[in-house]
Amino acid sequence: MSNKTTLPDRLGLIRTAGPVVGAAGVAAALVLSFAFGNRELFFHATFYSFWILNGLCLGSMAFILIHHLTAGSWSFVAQRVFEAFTRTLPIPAVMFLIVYLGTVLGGHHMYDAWVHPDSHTVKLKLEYLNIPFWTARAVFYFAVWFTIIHFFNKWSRELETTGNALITLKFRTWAPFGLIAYCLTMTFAAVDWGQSIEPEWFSTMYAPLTWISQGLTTFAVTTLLLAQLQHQKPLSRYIHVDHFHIYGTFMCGFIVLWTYMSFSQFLIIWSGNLPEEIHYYLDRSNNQLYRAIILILMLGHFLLPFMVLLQRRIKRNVTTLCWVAFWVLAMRLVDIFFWFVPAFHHGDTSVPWRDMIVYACALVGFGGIFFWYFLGQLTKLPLLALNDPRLYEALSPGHGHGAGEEVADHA
Amino acid sequence: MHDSHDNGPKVFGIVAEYDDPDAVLKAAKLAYAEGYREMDAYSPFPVHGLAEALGMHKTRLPWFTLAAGLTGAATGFLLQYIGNVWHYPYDIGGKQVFSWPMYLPITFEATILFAAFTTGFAMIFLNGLPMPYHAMFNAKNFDRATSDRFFLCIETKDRKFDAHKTREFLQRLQPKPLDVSEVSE
Amino acid sequence: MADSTITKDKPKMVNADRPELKPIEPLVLQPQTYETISDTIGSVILEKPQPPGWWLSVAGGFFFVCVLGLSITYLFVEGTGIWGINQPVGWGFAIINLVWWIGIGHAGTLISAILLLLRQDWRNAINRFAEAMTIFAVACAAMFPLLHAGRPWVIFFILPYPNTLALWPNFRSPLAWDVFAISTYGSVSLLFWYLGLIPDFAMLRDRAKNRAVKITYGIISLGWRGSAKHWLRYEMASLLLAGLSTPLVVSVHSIISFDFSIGIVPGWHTTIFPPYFVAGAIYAGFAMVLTIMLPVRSWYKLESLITLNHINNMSKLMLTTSLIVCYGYFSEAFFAWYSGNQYERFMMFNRMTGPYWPAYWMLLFCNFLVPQLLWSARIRVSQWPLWIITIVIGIGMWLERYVIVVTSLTRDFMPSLWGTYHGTIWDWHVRGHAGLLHFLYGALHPLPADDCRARGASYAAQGHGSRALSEG
Repeated sequence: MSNKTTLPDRLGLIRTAGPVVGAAGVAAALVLSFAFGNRELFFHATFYSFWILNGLCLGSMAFILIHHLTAGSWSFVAQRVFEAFTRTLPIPAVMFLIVYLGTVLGGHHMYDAWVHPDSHTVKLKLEYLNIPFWTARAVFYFAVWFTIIHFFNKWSRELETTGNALITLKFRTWAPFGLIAYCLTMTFAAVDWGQSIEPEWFSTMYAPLTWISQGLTTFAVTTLLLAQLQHQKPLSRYIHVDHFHIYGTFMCGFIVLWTYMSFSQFLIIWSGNLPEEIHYYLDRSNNQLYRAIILILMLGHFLLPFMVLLQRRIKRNVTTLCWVAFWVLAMRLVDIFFWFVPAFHHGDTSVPWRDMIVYACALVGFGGIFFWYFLGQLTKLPLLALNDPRLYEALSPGHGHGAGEEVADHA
Repeated sequence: MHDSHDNGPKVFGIVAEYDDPDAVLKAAKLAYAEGYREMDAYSPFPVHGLAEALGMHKTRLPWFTLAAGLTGAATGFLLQYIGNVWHYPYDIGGKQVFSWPMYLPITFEATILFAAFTTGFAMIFLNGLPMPYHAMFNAKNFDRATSDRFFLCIETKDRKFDAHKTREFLQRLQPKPLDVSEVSE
Repeated sequence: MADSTITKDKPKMVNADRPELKPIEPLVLQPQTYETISDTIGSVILEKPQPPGWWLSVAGGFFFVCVLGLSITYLFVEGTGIWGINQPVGWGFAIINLVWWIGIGHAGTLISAILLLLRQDWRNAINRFAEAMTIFAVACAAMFPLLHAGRPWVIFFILPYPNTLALWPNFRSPLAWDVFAISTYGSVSLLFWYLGLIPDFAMLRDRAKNRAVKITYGIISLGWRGSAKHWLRYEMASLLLAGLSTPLVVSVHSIISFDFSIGIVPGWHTTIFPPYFVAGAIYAGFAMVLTIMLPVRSWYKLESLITLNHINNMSKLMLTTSLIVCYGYFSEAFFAWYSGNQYERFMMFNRMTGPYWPAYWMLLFCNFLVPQLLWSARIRVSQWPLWIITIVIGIGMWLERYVIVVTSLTRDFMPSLWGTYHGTIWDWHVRGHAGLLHFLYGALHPLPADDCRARGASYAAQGHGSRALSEG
C-alpha cells in the first residue's frame, strides 16, 4: 500500500492552476482597489475571504473532534479531507496577518468604530476592545487552534505509520476538550473579528451562528471533494452512496439550523427594536442590493435547498447532490457578504457594485492559494485511516447507515 | 379439502407459518417469483424489504403529508392575516399591523398540526383500519403473529391460486414452513 | 457490500484487541429472543403484581394530587391573590412551572423522534417511557396558563374564534403563539404515542386471557394484524411524524423562549434564548426520563432491556446538553458585560450579588458543577449517584427559570418600579403537583413498557446481518 494519495485529474488541475490563479486574483484585487481609490477595499476583501477559508479550516477541526468522539462511518470517509483542511490553517493565518497589518496597524480601518470611539456605549467597552488586548487574544486563538491541529494530526500520522491502536484512546480522551476549546475560542474570535466591526451591536446568537455556518460550508465543500475522490484507493473500497446520502441529510440539517438561528436572531432584534441593536438590520436593508440579498437568502439559502434535500433520490445521486452542494456554497458566500459588507459601509446607502468585483477577485485569488496548499496536504496520507480499529466497528452491521441496502446509484 | 370450496366456509387463503423473519422474507420472494400477487405477510415487527418482496414498493403517504402541510401553512397564515390585518386592524405597541415575521411561528405550528394529523389518519385509513374482524385472525396460531411468528398468506382471489397447487407450493418452500394451513373467511 | 472488500485492506494493527478499546456491552443482552422479550414486556402489563416501590410511588403521587386539588379549589375560590405574584412580578411560579414542564416533555419527543431519525437502536428501550412522560408533562404544563389566567371559565378567549365583539387574539404577541405551540405539541404527542402503541396493543390483545381485556385491546389496536403492507405505511408514517416532531419540539421551546426574548426586559431580551432554551429542555427532560426510568427498571427487572449502555448513552447526552446550557449562562454573562449597556450590566451584577443571589449560584452548582461528575464513566452507570444527579439537575433547571423570571422582573429599568417576589405556600402547593405526573404515570402504567420494535433491535444485535429489523 502506498503511503501517498494521488489526486484525480480535476483536483490535480486545481492544484496546478492554484498558485497562478491565486497570484493573479490577489494582484487583481490589489490593483483594482487602488484603481477605485479605496485602499481598504483590498483589506475588506481579504477579510471576507479569510472569514470563509478560516471557517473551512475550523469547521473541519470541529468535525475532526466530533469524529473522534463518535467514530461514525460518515466521518471516517471524510477524516483525511478534514485533517488536510485543518493543516491548511497557515493560509488563513497569513491572510489574517495581512488584514491585521493593513488595518489595525495601518491607521484606520474597519475597526475604527472602537479604535477611535465616539459613542458613550463603545467607550464603556474599551476594557475589552483595545488593540493590545485584541492582538493578544488573536494570537491566543491561533495558538489554541494550531495546538489542537498539531496534536490531532500528529497522532493520526502516528496511527498510520505505527498501527498502534492505543493511539485512538488519546483521540477519545482529548476530543471533548478540544471541542470545548473550539466553541469558546470561536465565540471570542467571532466577537473580536466580526461583531466588533459594529461595536455597539451585540448578539449572543452570533457565535452559534458562526459555528453552524462553518459547519455548513465545510459540509458543502467536503461533499464536492468526496465526489471527486470517491474513486481513489483506499477510499473507493469503502465509500458508498449512503455516505453521500448522509452528507445531504447533514447539509439539510445545517441549513435548517442556520435558518432557525438567523430567523430567531432577526425576530428578537426586530421586535425589540432597540436603537443599539436594530441598526444591524437597518444597515442591511438600506439599499436595493441588500434587500435583494435578503430575499435571495430566504429563498436560496433556505427554501430551495431545504425542499430539494428532503428528497431521497437527490441525496442518493452524487451528481445532483454536488449541484446542491455548489448552490449551498454559493449561498454561504452571499451570506458572509451580507454579514460584513454592510458593516464596512456603515450607514452608506449606495450599492457597492464595484466593490463586488474586488471581493470576487480576492476570493478567487486566496481560494486558489488555499486549495493549492490544501490539495498538497491531502496527498500526504492515504485517504482512509485503515489502522483505526474503530473503522471496522463503524462498518459492522447495525452501525452503518443502511449499508449494503442499495447498489450505488452513481456507478 | 376440495369440497370446502363448495359447502364449507369460504376459504380466504393458504398460510405458511415461520418463526424467522429471514425465512418469511425468502418465502415471499419465492412466491412472488412464482407469479403470486394477491398475498400478504404478517410479522410482529417491521421486516425490512418484506413489503417490497410482496410487490409493494411505495406508499402515497408523503403526498398526503405535503398537501396537509401546505394547507396548514396557508390556514395558519391567513387566520392571522384575516384577524389582525383585514378584519380588525389594531395598533398594539406601535408594531406594524402586517408584521409578517411575527406570523411565522403560528404558521409553522399550524403546518405541523395539519401535516401530523393527516399523516396519522391517512396511515390508518390507507391500511383499511380500523378493521376489527379479518379472516387472518382465523389462521392457526395467528395470535402469535404479534409476538414471535411470521406468516405468509396466498389469498384465494389471486389469479394463480389453486387450492391444491398453492398448498403444495407452500409446503415445498425452502426454507420449510413450520406449518401450512387453510384459512376460512 | 463494502465490508467484504475492506477487510482485504485491513492491515496488521498493534494493540487492537486491548480491552480498553472495547465497547461496554451490546444493546439488548444476548439470551433474549422475541418470545422472551414479548414475555418481559407483556407480563409487566398482564400478569405480574405491582412491586412495592410502585405502590409507594403511586401513594405518594396520590397524596400530592390531593394537595394539588385542594390548592386549585382554593385558588378558584379566592383568585390568584393567594399566590405571591404582584406588581412588577406578574409572572411567578406559574410560568416557571410551565416552562419547566414543557421542557421535560421535550426529551420524550426527542427520544422518539430524533433517535428514530438517527436510527439509534437504543431508543427502542426507552421511548415508551419517554413518550408517556411527554404527555403527562404537557398536561401539567398546560394547566398553568389556565390557572394563571385567574378566570379559567373564560379561557377560550385565548382562541381565535369569530365573536360578537369582533376581537381576535393579538397574533403579534408570543403569548398567542404559545397557545398554538402548546396545543399542537400536546395533540401531536398524543397522536405519536398512540400510533406507536397500536402494534403493542395488538400484541396485548393476542396475549390477554380475559375476554373483556381482549376486546378492549382489540378495539384500541384498531384490528392491527401486522401485515407487511401495513408495516410499510406504518414505518413511513413513523418516519414522517418523527420528521415533523423534531422541528416541532424545537419550535415549541423556542416559542416559549420568545415569551421572554421578544420583550426588551434586560435578562430576557437576548438572541441566544431559543437554542439555549431548547438545550435546557432536553437536558432537564433527559434527567427526568432517568429519574423515572431508573426505579422502574429495577422494580420491573427490565435490566436486560434497558441496559447499562442505554443509561450510559443518556448520561452522555445529559452531559453534552449541560455543557450547552452552561455555554448559555456564560454567554449571557459575557455579553451583558460586553454590551456596555448599563441595564444589561446591572442585570447580571444583580443576578450574581442581588437579593436572589443564592438562586443564581445554586443554579450554577446544580447545572454546571454537579453534572461534571458525568465525565466519569463509573458514575454514568452507577444507579444511585446517577439518580441523585438527575434530581439535582431537575432542581437546577427549575432554578434557572426562577432566576430568569424573578431577577429580571424585580429589577426593571426604573428603580421606582422595583419590587420583590416570593412564592407563597399556595405557590408551593401547586408546585407539589409533581405528584400528578407520578400518579398518572403509575396509574396508567398498564401499557407496554417497551416498543415491540425493540424485538427487531434484539434480532439485529444477535448479528443476523442487516439492519432489516431495526427501525426503518
